Amino acid sequence: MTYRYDLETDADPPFTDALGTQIVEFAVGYDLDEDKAVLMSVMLVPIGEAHDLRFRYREQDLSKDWKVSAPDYSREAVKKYVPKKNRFEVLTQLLRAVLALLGAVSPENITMETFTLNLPEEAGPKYHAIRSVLEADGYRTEQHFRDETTGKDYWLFKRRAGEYAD
Amino acid sequence: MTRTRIIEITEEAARRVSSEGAAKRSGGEKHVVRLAQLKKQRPEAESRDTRVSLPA
Repeated sequence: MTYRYDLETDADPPFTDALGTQIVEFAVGYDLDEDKAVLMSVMLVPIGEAHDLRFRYREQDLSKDWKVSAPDYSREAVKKYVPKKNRFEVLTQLLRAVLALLGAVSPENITMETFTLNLPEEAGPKYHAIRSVLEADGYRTEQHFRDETTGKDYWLFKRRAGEYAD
Repeated sequence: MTRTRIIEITEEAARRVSSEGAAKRSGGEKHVVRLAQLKKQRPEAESRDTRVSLPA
């Protein structure tokens, strides 16, 4: 395996998958020996009265571009695909993708959860940055709590009255 | 919205994006072009390797 980190900084506009999820993806690297690209997939998933915001790495087959893996929520994936010194620039692209999705969908309610139990300290700034972007784009944090059963943090963001994404 | 409902929504979303159906994409044509460009790099690399292995 000869994986190479190569961040794509000009992500495409949002597109919709077969199940109605709005997605922005950008490549973070590729492995030509394995014939695959590694993508950051940023998604707004419509579920009932809300859209769930989630983001994770996927592997995409270069021969069959429709063939992508399920999101990889492991911390190992982060270590494997993005060098530590490059994580801030990936976060920057992630925030841009979130803004692009808000511009396309402008949902009334947005939910978000952490992927790891008992949010590690180093992951805190990432979620704080996402929250700041949402609040700057017309949303307020309606709820934020840690569930004792799942050990995850959850957020509910609500669009402020009269606020619409650009 | 109750906390229970928020958790339900996130769990349902996680199931949906992990399902096989979610992998069958529509749209994103420009992105395909980008990936195709990446793929083009491999034949070039193989070509270079072949030239190196040719006898003088």
